[in-house]
Amino acid sequence: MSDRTREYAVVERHRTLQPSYYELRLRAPVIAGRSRPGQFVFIRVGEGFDPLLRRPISICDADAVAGTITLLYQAVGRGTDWLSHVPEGAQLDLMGPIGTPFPVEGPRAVLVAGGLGIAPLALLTRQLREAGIPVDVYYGARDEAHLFCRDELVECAALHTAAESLGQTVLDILPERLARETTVYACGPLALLAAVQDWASRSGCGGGYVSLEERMACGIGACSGCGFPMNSGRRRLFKKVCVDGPVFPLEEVAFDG
Amino acid sequence: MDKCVVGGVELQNPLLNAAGTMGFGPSYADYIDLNLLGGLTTRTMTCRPRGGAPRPRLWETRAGALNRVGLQNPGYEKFVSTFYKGLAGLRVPVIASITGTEEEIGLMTRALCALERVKAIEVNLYCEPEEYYDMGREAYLERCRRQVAAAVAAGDRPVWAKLLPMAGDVVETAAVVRAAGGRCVVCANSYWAMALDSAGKSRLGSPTGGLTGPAIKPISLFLVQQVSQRVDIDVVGCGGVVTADDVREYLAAGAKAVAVGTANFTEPETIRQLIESL
Repeated sequence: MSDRTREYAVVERHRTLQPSYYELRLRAPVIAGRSRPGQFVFIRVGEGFDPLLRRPISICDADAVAGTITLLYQAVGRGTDWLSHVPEGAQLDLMGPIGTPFPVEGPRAVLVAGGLGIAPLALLTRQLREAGIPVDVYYGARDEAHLFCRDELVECAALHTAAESLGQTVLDILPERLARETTVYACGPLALLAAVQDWASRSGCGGGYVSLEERMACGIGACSGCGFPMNSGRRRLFKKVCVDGPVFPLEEVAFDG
Repeated sequence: MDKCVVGGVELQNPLLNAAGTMGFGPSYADYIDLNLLGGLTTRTMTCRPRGGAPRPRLWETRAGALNRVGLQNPGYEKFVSTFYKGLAGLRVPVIASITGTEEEIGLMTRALCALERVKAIEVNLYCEPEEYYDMGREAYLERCRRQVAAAVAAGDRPVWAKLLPMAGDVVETAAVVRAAGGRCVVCANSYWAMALDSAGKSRLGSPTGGLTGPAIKPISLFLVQQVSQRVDIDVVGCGGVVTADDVREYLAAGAKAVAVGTANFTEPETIRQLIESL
């Protein structure tokens, strides 16, 4: 039985973090009460059927007591451009929370985020901390101003940042070796995730998880439009990012497929 | 909305989902009571499991969506052994969509006709554009004839066919379906189409895809009218339905029933809303 539902959320706060980057806080008590790190909401964009498809956006924070969820997103096309103009007080049509969440595993956690990949990892950081698991967050962005959620992260984790404007990517600051009992969690651009997969396999850690992003049509496992190649023994098979994921075991994802 | 008999199947109302848009049903049960539908069409099954097309598989266009999923499905045996059980509470007819060679269609039809809720076999006359242009119109029509005839010969349920609108001429294909014993044509599947980035590279992991959504409705509507006027076979209108007026247009053009596809993605309760407003 899935937790997902349909909820008309009210925009409580909508602010510009940086040009084209936004933070959206929504009053959505049912979804807020059920959200787990790594899950997403599937948002209707536009008034009619153009843009046609809903947009999947990761849940960055969920406050069950306040009944709110927070999303971070970048306006990159017609759907997210429309979203960026939704005023406070307006309603949004959500389906969610959708997807397989990150498992909260200890006894140590290392998180690797690139850009907006921080969104699902911010909620995960909090939950790991609440579970008493020490967390190191390695977080890279184009420059200092694009490193979001820093105050929240510092509260719950040892935060290590890298800014491309200063000549560093997050890959440059990762430790070479990890203790066997470490679980790696990653989210960000595909090229970064492929590099993290490679790094994790050499680091000596016990394994990890990655959250993927993919274009979606139905968002609930019916259409297979978000199929992503996975390694299964010696075979390749396509799993659905929407419901089989978006979180997958790190070693399973076939980034070259 | 009234009861009707379409292609030999009794429907409580003339609204179906299009194949491939609701999976095998259960994923949509969180959002719509599937027993409201006139009938539930499965995703297209093949004899062996299919992994499908490379990513990315989707690209949104103006009022439309381009996709190349590549018929990813778990194979009909998995449907018979597992997914069919997920339809235990379903009281509406199941239309089982399949594709493959004559032999495969025969095999699948025999197995699917043993399932009580399956009330029709829909043969998806799918073909990739490269394959179609290599084989040519005559060979494609002959393949359609054999595929439909194989399903008719193998089972005891009415056989429907999903027309591929840009392969040959749908009126000609519909006539072939009828002559082979088919009882109904679903008009139509998606349109071969493409989208390129600024470097001229396909937006999909495949060179081409199929276009669906409101953008295609006027074209499918025209094809429904042509097939209805020229071939003595029941027609299910399919393509870009989002509003009650779209349904009325298809019915006015000669369709006996209407299938809703991409709109389910945007508004999972589309079919319920259409039934209430018609």
